[in-house]
Amino acid sequence: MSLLEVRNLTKYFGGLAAVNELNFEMNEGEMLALIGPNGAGKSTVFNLITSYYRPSKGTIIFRGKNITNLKTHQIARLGIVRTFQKTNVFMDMSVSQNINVAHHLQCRARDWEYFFLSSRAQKEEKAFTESINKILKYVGLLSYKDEKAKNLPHGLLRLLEIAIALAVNPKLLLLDEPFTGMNPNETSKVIKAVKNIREEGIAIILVEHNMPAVMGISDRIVVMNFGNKIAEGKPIEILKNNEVIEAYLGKDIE
Amino acid sequence: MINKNKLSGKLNFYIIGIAYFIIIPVVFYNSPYILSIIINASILSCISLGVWLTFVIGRINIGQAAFVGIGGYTTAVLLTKFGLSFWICLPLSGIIAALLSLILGFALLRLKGVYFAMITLTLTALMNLVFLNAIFITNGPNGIMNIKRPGALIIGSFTIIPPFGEGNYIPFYYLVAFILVICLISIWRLYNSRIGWIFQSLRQSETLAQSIGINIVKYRIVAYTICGFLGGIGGSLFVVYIQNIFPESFKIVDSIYYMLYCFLGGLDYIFGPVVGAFLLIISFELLRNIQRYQELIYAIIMISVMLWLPNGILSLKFYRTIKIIKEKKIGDLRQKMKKRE
Amino acid sequence: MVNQIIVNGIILGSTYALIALGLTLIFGIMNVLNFAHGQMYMVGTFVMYYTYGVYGYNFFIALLVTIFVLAIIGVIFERFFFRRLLYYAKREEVSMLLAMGSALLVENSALIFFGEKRRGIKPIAEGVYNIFNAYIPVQRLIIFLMAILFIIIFLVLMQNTKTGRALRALAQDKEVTYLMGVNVNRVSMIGFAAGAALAGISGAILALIFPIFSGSGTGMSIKAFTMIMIGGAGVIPGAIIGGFILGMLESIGYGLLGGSSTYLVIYFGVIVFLIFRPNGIMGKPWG
Repeated sequence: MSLLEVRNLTKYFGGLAAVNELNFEMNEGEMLALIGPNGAGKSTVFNLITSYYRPSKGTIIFRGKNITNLKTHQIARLGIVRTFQKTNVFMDMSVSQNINVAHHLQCRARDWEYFFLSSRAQKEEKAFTESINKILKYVGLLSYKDEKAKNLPHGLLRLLEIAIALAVNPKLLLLDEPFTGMNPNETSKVIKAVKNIREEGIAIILVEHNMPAVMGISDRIVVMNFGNKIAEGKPIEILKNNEVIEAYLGKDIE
Repeated sequence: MINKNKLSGKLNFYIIGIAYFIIIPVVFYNSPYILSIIINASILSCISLGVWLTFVIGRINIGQAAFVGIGGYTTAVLLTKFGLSFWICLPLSGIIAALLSLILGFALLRLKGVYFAMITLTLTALMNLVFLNAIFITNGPNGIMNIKRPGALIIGSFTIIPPFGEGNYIPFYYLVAFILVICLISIWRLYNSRIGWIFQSLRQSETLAQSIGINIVKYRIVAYTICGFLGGIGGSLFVVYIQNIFPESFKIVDSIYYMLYCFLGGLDYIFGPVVGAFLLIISFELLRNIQRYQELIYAIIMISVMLWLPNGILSLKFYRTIKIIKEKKIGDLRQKMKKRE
Repeated sequence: MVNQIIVNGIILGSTYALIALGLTLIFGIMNVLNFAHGQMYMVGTFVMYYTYGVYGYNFFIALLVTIFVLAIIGVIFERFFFRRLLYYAKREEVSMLLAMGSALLVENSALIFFGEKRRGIKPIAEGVYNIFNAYIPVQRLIIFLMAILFIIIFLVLMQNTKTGRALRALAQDKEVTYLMGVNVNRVSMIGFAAGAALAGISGAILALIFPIFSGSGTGMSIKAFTMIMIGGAGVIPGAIIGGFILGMLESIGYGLLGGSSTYLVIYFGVIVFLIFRPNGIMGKPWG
C-alpha cells in the first residue's frame, strides 16, 4: 500500500484550472520533489492535500484512507504536516514555545487535565521539554531556544518552521519552498535538517525552484506546468526530458 | 531567577489581597459609597476579563454587553417571576449566557477583524431590541424593578450564607470579591496552561495552528463561551446590586468600556482588565463633580491611551523598573540570609 | 402601498448609499473602521441646521459649508489621530478603539454644545407628486436627485482623476502605491476628508426629513456598518448595494412591522446572512 495517492486532483478558481487531473503516488520514506515554473500549481497541491482548499474534483488517499473531505487539523492528526511558502511561525512566542505548542497532537492528557495540571499532564509537559531540546538540536536551533521568533533572521525562521512541523510527529512532511531566500550557509543547514528527517523514515514532498538542491536529494521528481503533470521520474530522467526543459526555458525560436 | 519572580509576585498578591479583603471592608465598614465603588469595579473586572479572553484569541469583541444583559435578565426574571433563589440564578445566568455564546459562536467566530467587530456590535444592538420587545418576559421598556438582594443559601438544614440585608453592602462586597478572585485564578490557570498557549496561537496564526493539528473552531468557541459566561455572571451580579434592569441597561457604549478597561491595563496581562476597571472607576468617582462630562472624559482617555499608551499601563517601564528593583532587593535579602547560615 | 414602500426605499437607499460610500472609502484606504462616521453624519445635520435653519442661508450654500466643515474634521482625524497610530500600533485593535474614542468625543462634545433638544428645519419645497401610484413629496424627490448626483460625482472623480486613481490604488496595496511615488500621506488625508464629507452631505440632506439631535450618530453608525456588512467592506459597488438594500429593508420593515421590530428583524437577518456570506455581497476580507 502506498503512503499517498493523489487521483484526478483538480481545482478550479473561477474558470481557470490551477490543478488539472493530477495523478501521482508516493511510498513510505520516499523523497518526492514537486517542481515546475511559477504558477504551475505546486503550492495549490499542498493546499489541497492539507484541506486548506477543497478540491473541485478528485480524491486524496493517505495510507489507504480517503482524506479528501477531512479538515486540516484532522489531516495533521493522521500524520501529514506542511510548511508554508510565506514564513509562518508564532512571531510573539520564543523558539521553544513555538515548538511546545506544536506538541499539541502528542498530548494524551485531556484539556481539563492540563488546566488542573494532573500528574499525567505534568509528566507530558516534562517529556515535551526534552523533546523540544531534541528537535532543536536536530535542526540546529538549540542556541536560539529562548529567542523570540520575530527577532530571528529569515533563514532561521524557515528552520523553525521545519522544527515546528517535526514536533507534530509527521509521517509525511510537505515542505513548501524551504530554500527560498536563503544564503548558501542557511541552505546547507536546511539540507542537513532534511537529510536527518529522511533518516528517521519520514516521507517528504518538496516544492522547490532551487534545482541543484532538489536534484541531489530527491528519489523521484514530479514536474508540473499550468496545473498539469508533464513529467515524472528519477532526477536523471527528468534532466533529459524535453518537455521539462521547454517548460522552464521556453521553445526554441526556429 | 524564577524564584525571585515568584516571590516578588507573591508579595504583591498578598499585599493586594489583604487590602482588598481585609483593609477596605474594615476601614470603610460604614461607608456604603466607597464599598459600592469597589463593588462596581469588581463586577466590571469580571466582565472585562471575558472580553480580555477574546482579545487573546485575536478577536475584537464588542458584544459583551449583550451577554451581560442576558445574564441580568435571566436573574431578574427568575428572581421576580419565579421566585427562585439568587444562588441558583447566579450560576444559571452564567450558564445560559454561555450556551448562547456557544451557539452564536459557531456562526460568528468564522468572521475576523472588522467583520467580527461589526457583527458583535450588531449583536449588542439586537439584544437591546429583543429585551425591549419581548414584553411578556422582560416587561419591555418598563424594565424590572425592586429586585431584592440575595436571600439565604440553605442546603438541607444548613444555612451556609445568611440572607443579605437591604442596606448592608458588606456581604455583597465579599460575594463580589470572592467571585472576582475565583474568576481571576481560573483565567490565570487557563492562560498559563496548554490551552492558554493554544489561544495565543490562534491570535498569531490560525493557519499555522490548524496545520499542527489544533482544532481552531473548537478552541475559538471555548474562549468565546467562557467570555459569555463571565458576562452572564457579571450581569447577574449587577442586577442584584443595582436592583433593577432595563432594555438599555447594557448597551454598545458599555461594550466599548469593557474593551477600554482591557486596553488601559494592557492586553498582554491578565490583570490588565482589572487594573483598567479599578483605575477608571475609582478616578471617576474622585472627580465626581464633573460626572456630567463622564463620557467625554472617557472618550479623551480612550484617545490618549491609544495614541500614547497603546500597550497599557502594566507595560510601562516604570512598573518593570519597580519590579526589577523589588527582585534585586529580594535577591540581596536571600544572599544575606545565606551568608548568616 | 407596495409602490409607496418601494419608492420610499429607493429614496432612502440613495442617501444611505452616500453614507456607506464614505465609510467604505475610509475603510478601503486606511483599513480603519470609522466608528465616528455616524457622528460625522450628525455634525452634517447640525451644520445644515445652523447655516440654513438658523442663519437662513440658501440651502445649497449650506450644503457647501457642510462639505467644507466635514472635510476639515476628516483631515484633523487623519492627520492627528490615525496617522500616528498606523505607524507603530502593536495590534490592529488599537486603531479601532481610537476610532471609537473619536466617536464618543464628537458625540459628547456635540451633546455639551448643542444639548439634547431635537430640532428640525423648514422644508425646501412644498407639494407632493403622485408617481406610479405613490406619493412623493417634492422635497424627497429633490433629496433623491441630490443623493444620486453626489454618488455620480463621486464615482466620476474616483474613476477619472489622478487622486481618485491614487485612492483606488491605495485601497489595493499601500506599499506598492507608495513605491509608485504617490504621496500616501496626502492621499490618505484627502480620502478621509472625502469620506467624512460624504457622511456630512447625507446628514445635511437628511436633515430635511430626519430629526436633528446630538445622539443621532450612534444609530446611523450602526446602520452604516450594517450596509457595509451586507454589501461588503472596502469596495465601492458593495457600499452602494448595501446602502440601497438597507434603505429598502427599512422601508419594507416600517411599512409592514413598524417601530422597533423593524431593526430587530434586520439585525437578526444580517447575522444570519453573514453566516452564509461572511464577506457580504462583494466584500474584501480583512487583512
